[in-house]
Amino acid sequence: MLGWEFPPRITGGLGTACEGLTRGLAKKNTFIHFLMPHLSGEEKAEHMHLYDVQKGHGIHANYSSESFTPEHGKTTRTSTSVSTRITSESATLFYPIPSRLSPYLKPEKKAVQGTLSTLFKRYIKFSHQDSVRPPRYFRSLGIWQGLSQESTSSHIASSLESHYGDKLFEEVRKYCERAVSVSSGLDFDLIHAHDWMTYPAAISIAHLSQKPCVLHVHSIESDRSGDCKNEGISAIEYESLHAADSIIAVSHYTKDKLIEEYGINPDKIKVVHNGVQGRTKIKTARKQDGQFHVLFLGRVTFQKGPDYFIEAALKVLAILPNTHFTLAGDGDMLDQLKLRVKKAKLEKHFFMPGFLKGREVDQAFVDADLYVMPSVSEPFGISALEALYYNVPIIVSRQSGISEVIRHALKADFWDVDELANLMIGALKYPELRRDLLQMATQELKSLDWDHSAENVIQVYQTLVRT
Amino acid sequence: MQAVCFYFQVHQPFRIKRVRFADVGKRLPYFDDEKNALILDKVGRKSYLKTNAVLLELIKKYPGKFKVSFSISGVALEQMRLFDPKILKSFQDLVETGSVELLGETYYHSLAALYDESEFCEQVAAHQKVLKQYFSYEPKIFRNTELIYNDAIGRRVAELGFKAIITEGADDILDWRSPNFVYRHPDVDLKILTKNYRLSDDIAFRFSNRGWSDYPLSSEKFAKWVHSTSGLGNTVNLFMDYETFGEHQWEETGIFEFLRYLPDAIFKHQDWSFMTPSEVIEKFQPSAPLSYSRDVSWADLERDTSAWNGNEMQRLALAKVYSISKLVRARNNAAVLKTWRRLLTSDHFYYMCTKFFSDGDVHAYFSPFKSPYEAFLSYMAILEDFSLYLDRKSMRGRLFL
Repeated sequence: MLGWEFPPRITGGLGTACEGLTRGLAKKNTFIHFLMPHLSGEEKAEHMHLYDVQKGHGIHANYSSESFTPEHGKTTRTSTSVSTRITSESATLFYPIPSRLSPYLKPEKKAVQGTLSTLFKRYIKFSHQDSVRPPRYFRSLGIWQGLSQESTSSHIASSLESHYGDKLFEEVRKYCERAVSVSSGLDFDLIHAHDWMTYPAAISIAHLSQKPCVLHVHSIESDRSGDCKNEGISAIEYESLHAADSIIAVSHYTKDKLIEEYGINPDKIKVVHNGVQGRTKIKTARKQDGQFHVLFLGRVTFQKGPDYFIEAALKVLAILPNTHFTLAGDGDMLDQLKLRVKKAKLEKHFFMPGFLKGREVDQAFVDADLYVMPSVSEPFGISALEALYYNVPIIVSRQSGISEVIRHALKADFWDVDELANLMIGALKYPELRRDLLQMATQELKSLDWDHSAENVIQVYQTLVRT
Repeated sequence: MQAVCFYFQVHQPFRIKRVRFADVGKRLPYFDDEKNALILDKVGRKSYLKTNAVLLELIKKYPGKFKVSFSISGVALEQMRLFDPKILKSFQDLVETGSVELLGETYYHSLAALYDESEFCEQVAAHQKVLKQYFSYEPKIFRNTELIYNDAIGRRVAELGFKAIITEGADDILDWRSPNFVYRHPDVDLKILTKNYRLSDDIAFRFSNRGWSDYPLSSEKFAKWVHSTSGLGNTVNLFMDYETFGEHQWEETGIFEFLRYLPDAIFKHQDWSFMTPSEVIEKFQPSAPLSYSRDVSWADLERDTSAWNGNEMQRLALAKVYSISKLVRARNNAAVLKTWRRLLTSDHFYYMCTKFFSDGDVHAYFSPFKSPYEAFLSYMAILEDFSLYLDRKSMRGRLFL
């Protein structure tokens, strides 16, 4: 399995999802080698083999080094087709691959001439190492090659420049290279990769190993960047998704976008909703003081709609002045939003602590009366499930995957600031509504666990791996 | 002799608009005339006018033999008069034949029987008045909103002079008894007709269900089921929403043909005929007293009132709206009273029902709101605006009806 991040060091729902899913899969006797750009050493993953691809070897959480022999590997492979033979020992190995960069970090204003070119030349080099080129990859390889030649052309370079730093592409390239190299020493039945950063690696490994490849789509470029799409990333997504044997989308919302934007065959896409992982709940330190607390938690970027949150919040304050808003997260829109609040002279109602992690996140959830996720485009929205887990009712945009699985949420179109404000006011005014919402949503939440998601993923595996 | 007793419910609420808290105090109109007119037009064309035509045809074909009964809420009649008088006319034509019985109910199709006794009595009187006005008719039999009933409601209805009430034949109430007999209130002189929900729901809910083992349901098959109760009772009470015909069961399902050929099929057995509720209680003596110790309705599997007051939002909204009764009356103003009473209509609370929302079933189908939460918030915003209006010493601003 190829991943880009893993708790506790995460920037969004991707890492959380990788942890939840691998735990669910491991419970169902799936043996996972998990390849990471790099590891911080804080990861807890006794359920699988975690590799740092930078170092090129595996970190074996629960295993003594001798237990991980090739033979062991042979009998307990990623495949579920052999799951009956897998004992409870099944686990994942993480392999970290060096990457200091998040795919979501704010843009670095640097020229990126030639980055893609390098990336794809390297990629093509891998492809050429293998003399057998299965026909199904021909077309995609050709286009990738073309892209690599054109990649110095200005539109790609400038779009890269506008949204991401060149380092990110450099990291993706390195990850691809190292993951391919690490994978050559592993025994596995299929490849499962999470989001675009790992797709080139997945396709390369699939090509070299002749093993089927599942690409898991947690978000696509248009979700992250709206109209200012990075053409390079879109191209990677387009080519990889077309080359993949099977695709898992986190929602029907995302599935529809894949069909619409990338022209993917709907039969190839299976929707597997995310789950929510149980954890120890902490208690709120808040006193009953007649004040309301509303929480936004996510990257402060276009995709998450923080500006709609702030505009709606200002409208709420006109009617419920005893309300406090927390905008937790970091991103390129933070300064502009701080300014907006300052202009309105309502700073004392807003708390913008920046990026929260671990216990701070838990604290933010338990202290909230209401969680608001006004995302412009949200493939799933795992944090809204976490809010529910903390007994915080949610307002979500209709443009979200979570909207499909939680009917008992307040919903508005993200652009409808008046409605967003109205829902906040209503939810804050009437604890009766909040309790009804929660009572019903909690029941819906019960069916959204990672075990259930893992079952669906295994079904996808089973269609690909025939014994 | 045994009877098939048809009773149809005709009701359309004055649906409210979507109102936001930011609009409170602006005195925007509360009721969505446009939507209400549109829905009445649609239901009128698909259901009321077509079914009325079939019934009129049957009444003429079997004079004195084919009979039905209706309860038409005051707010439905009011909307017919406001938006589509030809629908009202077609009901008047039916009643004119003498083969149609009209039942009494609350004018506003409200839950007042459970929350405000004197308001309940006033609404029943208002309904009697409108029946007299439009149909020159005096109802003898009562049916409460959504067949909601308990012993206390029975006493109240008897006091108001009704001879009988029709209600749900809930399993736990009937126990081993059959719904096909006439019963009576344990304490007062009030007869009780209980709905045969199995046979009623075969038409109202299962008729077009392809997954049902008895699909498709022909008039002959249904008549056979009715005939099979011969000797096991006096009356088969088929109570249902009138919109069953053409709206819940679309014309394409064959529901009108089913209705058209049903009398023929029923009359094949000489012991059987169609009777109105008044004829049934005239003809058959009550077999036993029947006590309703809990609030019963014809809704959902629970046959209770939880579709209207099962969650906290509903209970809050009900408590709030009934709590302003005194303020409303203090105004001594017909428009204010009318506005308040329209807000008492049970449908507003039904839209707030959360229990089946997840399955997207019948509750969601009938709601003009996207979710029970939106229904609640709009209702509360309107109530807030209305309360503000009542509170003001001066009469500034006017209410839109």
